[in-house]
Amino acid sequence: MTNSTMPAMVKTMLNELKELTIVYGYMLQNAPTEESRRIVELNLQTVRMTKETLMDIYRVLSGETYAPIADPILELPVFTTFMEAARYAFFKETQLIRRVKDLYLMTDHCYRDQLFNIIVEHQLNAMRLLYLDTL
Amino acid sequence: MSDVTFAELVLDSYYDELGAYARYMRMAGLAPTEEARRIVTMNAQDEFRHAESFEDIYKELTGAQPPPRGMYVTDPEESFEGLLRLQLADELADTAKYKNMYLMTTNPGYRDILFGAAQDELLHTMLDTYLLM
Repeated sequence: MTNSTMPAMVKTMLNELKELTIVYGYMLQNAPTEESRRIVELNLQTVRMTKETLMDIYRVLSGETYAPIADPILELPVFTTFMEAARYAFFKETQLIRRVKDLYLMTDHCYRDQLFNIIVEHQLNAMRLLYLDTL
Repeated sequence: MSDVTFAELVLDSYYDELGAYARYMRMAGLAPTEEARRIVTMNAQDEFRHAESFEDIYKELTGAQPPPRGMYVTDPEESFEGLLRLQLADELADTAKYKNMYLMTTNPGYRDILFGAAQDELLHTMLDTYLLM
């Protein structure tokens, strides 16, 4: 099944990944320890892999190449601390997991393995962000 | 696994989800911050949706409405944090239970409902853990 709303859902997720890339970029620059920097780098790698997968899915579903929104930075809050950014990223990750789960349940089996992989990888991202709060 | 046993698990899950909904709504009234209130209310909405799905599966399997639960014991906990800790333990147990139920059935519709519910409960464990920090 290919629902007509699916390309729009994927596009929304790609825009959210762009936001997460910016937030993780800020966190990398302001990481208080080497361990926290490595954790953020892992999360950023996940975001990049997810972006590639979703761009492929978007291309197949819509027949078009994804064009990122012009300036998502305007919609981001200004972070004053590393942990403030981490908490924002945590909520963005949980939001993304919900959306990917909804997409998983709308799709046929040809995308399910890829989407299941994305769900688990971003669950790990969210757990790593919770761990950062314990350091 | 027979359908009777699966139906019993579905009924048990239906009661659990209604209980979780009630607990989260109680927590919403005790929430110390607007952020906490928003999170527990969102979780409550998920639990209610799960209860509706389990009710539908139960009716499909048995041809009957879920029977009334009977005596209901309210949580002895009075604090937001105490209720949150109780709920966090339940969310972890429910994640495992729905994963096991997913593996018990070959019905694709039931599997999707159980997959979605297991993922939601896991997300709730993360959000509840965040609220405890």
